[in-house]
Amino acid sequence: MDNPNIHEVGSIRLRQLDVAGKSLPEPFPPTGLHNITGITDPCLETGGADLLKDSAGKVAEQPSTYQFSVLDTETGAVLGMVRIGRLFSAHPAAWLSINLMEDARSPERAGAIIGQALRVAFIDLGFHRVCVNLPSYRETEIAWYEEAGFLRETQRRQAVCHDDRLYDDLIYGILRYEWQKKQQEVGA
Amino acid sequence: MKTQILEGRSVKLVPLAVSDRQTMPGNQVQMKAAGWRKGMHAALRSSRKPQEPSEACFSMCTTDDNMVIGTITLNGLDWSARSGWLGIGRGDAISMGKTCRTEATQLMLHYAFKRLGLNRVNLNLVSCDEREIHSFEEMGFKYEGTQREVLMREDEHLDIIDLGILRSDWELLNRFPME
Repeated sequence: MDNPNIHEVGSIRLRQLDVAGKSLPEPFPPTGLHNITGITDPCLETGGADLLKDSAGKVAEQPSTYQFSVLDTETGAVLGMVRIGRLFSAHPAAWLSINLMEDARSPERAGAIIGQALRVAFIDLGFHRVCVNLPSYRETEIAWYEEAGFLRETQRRQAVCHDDRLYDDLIYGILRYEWQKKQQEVGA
Repeated sequence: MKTQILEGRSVKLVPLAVSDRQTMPGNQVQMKAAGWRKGMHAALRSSRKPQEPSEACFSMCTTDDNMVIGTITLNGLDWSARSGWLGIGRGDAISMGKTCRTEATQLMLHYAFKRLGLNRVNLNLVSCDEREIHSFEEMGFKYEGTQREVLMREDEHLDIIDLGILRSDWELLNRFPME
């Protein structure tokens, strides 16, 4: 690929934006709270302190967040935003957040965009794991991610407030070798 | 909100100011670990009322000789969902007994649910054994899932265990305390 900031497969193109987010297209705001509520630091017991000391020593100039606009390859229309963030410095795990325009929210389009985001995360950025954090009332998105191969790992009870009601907060995760296996199955 | 000393039989929790925390044993690491959540804290700060703190930090001291054995915190307080994260930091050279940890956790849960009015307390553990999970389950925490292979140490992937306790779980246990 000529331009390392352009990731294109089929009808979907991801164009990397500057890290400071200066070129974030409207109407996508800077990373909202819902994107990061599931990112947790480990308790400092059970070896966590040593682990974090170890990683703190290795804190490099790794960008903590990668941001992409999602474009239609043919028309160039903006379909949404993809953000891929590093959970902890020096650890190869990422969180993923995707915001899509209303007319890009078909299961097929969403599936293609999630697939492209995973390809960037696992191949271009070299992550080992990608997780997504979804409140239980977002049933449409949950179906997209399950279809893409994400597994539900955690269900935090009553952890999200929405419209004055408490909902469970779900964490879905996919590992690189699971994604690769699914790619092989699709290709076969 | 003025925070008082929380005192148990063998351990007491003394409120910490931000300036104190820099010198607390085991806490340098915690500060670094909290760095990534700056964005979340900023969002929470902007939405909360003045009387709603973003975190509560205590040093853990033994009641008999006032020796500092670690820190215990409730951070990332989310006042819309009324939840927070429990963090326990051990002093580098001091071994904290299970009794002290249990008692400190129970004092903190009482503070979280009764004083702060929270509905939920979260806890993460790094790839721990079942006994460790069980010790927190005895305090009312429930296992809610495992985030697989999140961390890496010496080429080995480690999981993060998610535990959580709701106010209703805690009240039930404390209405009929287990012997």
